[in-house]
Amino acid sequence: MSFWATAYLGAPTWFTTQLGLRLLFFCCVPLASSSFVQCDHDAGFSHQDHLPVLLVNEGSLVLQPLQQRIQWDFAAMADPNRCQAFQSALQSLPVPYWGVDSDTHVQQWESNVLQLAQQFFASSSRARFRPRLSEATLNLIAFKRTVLDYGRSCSLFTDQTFVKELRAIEKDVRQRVQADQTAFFDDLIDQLAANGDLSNYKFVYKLLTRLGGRPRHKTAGGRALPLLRTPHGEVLRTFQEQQQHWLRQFAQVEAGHVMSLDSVRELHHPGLGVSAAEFDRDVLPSLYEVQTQIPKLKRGKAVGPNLLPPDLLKAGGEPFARQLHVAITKAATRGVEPLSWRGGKLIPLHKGKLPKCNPDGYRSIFISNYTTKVYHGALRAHLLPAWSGVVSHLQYGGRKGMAADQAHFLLENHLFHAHQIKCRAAILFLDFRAAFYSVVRQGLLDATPLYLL
Amino acid sequence: MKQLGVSPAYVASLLATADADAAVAGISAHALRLLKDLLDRTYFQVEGLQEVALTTRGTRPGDPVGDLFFNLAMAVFLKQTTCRISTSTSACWKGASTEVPDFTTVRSPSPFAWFEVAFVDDCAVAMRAPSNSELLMLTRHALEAITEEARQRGLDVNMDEGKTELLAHLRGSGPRALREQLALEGSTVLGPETVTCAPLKIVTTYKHLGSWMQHNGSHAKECRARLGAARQAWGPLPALRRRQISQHVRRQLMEALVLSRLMYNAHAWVGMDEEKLQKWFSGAREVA
Repeated sequence: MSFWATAYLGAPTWFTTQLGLRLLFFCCVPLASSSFVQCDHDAGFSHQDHLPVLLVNEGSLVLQPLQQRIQWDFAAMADPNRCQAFQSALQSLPVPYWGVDSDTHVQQWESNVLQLAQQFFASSSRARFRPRLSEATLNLIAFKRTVLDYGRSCSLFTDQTFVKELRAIEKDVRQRVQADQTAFFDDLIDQLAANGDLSNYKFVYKLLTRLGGRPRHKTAGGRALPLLRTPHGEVLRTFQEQQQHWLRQFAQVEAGHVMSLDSVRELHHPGLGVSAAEFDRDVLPSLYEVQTQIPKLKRGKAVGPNLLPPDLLKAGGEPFARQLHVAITKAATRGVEPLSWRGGKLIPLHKGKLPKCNPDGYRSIFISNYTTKVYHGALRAHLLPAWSGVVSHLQYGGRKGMAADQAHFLLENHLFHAHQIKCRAAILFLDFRAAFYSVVRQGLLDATPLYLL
Repeated sequence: MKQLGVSPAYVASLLATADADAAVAGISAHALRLLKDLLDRTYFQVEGLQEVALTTRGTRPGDPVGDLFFNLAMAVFLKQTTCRISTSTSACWKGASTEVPDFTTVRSPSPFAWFEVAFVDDCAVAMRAPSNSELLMLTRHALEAITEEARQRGLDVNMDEGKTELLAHLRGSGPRALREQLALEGSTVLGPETVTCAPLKIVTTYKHLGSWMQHNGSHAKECRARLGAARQAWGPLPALRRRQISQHVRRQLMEALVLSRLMYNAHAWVGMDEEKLQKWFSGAREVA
């Protein structure tokens, strides 16, 4: 028996005079629970088709949107023609107007850029990266195959003249392939040097290993990590349990409060903005500053929560920098950073000492959005000169010309000099656990005038 | 202070904050507001979870401003540590980052002194003393001061092996007896009676900022480590053994991947004689 035969009662529940349509509404209520439709409702004071329904909620299930991993074609992001096409498309991308708040602006714009970028740089299949041969060489290889087929079909391999000719062709093919491959590697190294990736050992190693053929023991796939155990010895069996454990463990280091993202949104208040008295035009990063920050990003890094890789920011060129500059200017003018730029992903990384099943043997790595890094990089320029002018101790790092080798050289000299003059000397080396994650930041920039003393 | 009704500890903490203010004195109110906003309502998320953790500590590691914020905290930390050490010892502090006015006159360093050197979160206290006992006493004062100051700033000194250690060059009268005594105590300076922190291990080598240091100023271990790193960098690249790769490409890769490891911090080596350099060169030739 069909649904209509059982449910259709014959009379429509709604009739539109304007359109001349008879409408029939259905309300499906589970019979097993205590929910019901009050059919004997007095409809004298309301619409005839409005029937009260009593629904009993026995639970809820939050469905997480399926986040499909985007596979980017990074070679395409370095292709000038493809980048030019992407930049042309970016120029026609609508940007939220000035009245839209920073949070919505950033969210909409980043989402639009991501969708647009997928049309240009997303890769559906994992193509093998092999040395490319020239057209002439490929034609010669095809010619050699034709000659081989001809020889097989005519049984010419006993003919010495034919064999001699074939060997000459094969020799020519080998020489041409070798010349092409040499030229390919030369170009590859030049390209790596131009991009600044030549000293990136991990990247070069992966690239050359792939070109040279992967060893068999590496193609078998990675080994799964052992199940994690809590300090009480309980085994974390599901992915959710494991992630919950990471969240709590790392939140403890940063004195964090675990809460829903909606609660964080409620805490995030845009405020009244920067007052006219304290507004400083020089604080707003210029387009040039934004454009100089983007080339500093390193290619091939893991993406942040907004899924925009650094290669994409570079591929966007000037149109991308202009649109990002609008978002940054809006945030700086209103004095509040967008909420999505305040967060990041935390990835556990094994430190290599304790057993892999022990969660204490892992540290975390924080990955934020690259658009955020451009904004913060522009702000850094304001903090750096003011701080470096009043440093009283031998503090290295974070400043130009104050690299790690100078700190090391100073201590080497201390020991060497003590050894030379036969003096007693020592160096106390200190290490702080998760220093960047656990240092107290309250009051770091608060004002306390000296005259209060 | 009596009139104001404040304790010396409160004054010290207020001064520390004032020092931080001095560090940011040249920034406009607008820029300061934006910078403060960067440290407010930060959070992190873990893949696969709807929940997030709203963080209240840390300086956004991995961020362009993260190291700078930490340097600000470290500047105050170092000042307070110096004040604390100077109150408990007669040694003089020689860690001011002032420019050298005159390179023509050479002044011999003070026999009983200390200075701090910090590279972002890597901190070291270099000490010199006329006797071994005074050197170890100064070390105790320095460690106690640092532990206390770190605790106040939410930092925890990691006393594990290879982390917080003392690289000591003990010599003079009675070093043998002292070494024997230290060996009996497990090569530690601070014994179990010290409640502030775990025992401090005395070592003869330490890896500082990626380079090995030895207590006698030698670089033998560092040279071996550099050669080993260079071999590791060259060995696993199978594509380099192909005939198709020209000498030009090999040379470029050699310079970028191998020589960078072989020469890392080599310019900071002090007192390398000709014989040691030749030894290192011969090892480098084998790599090539």
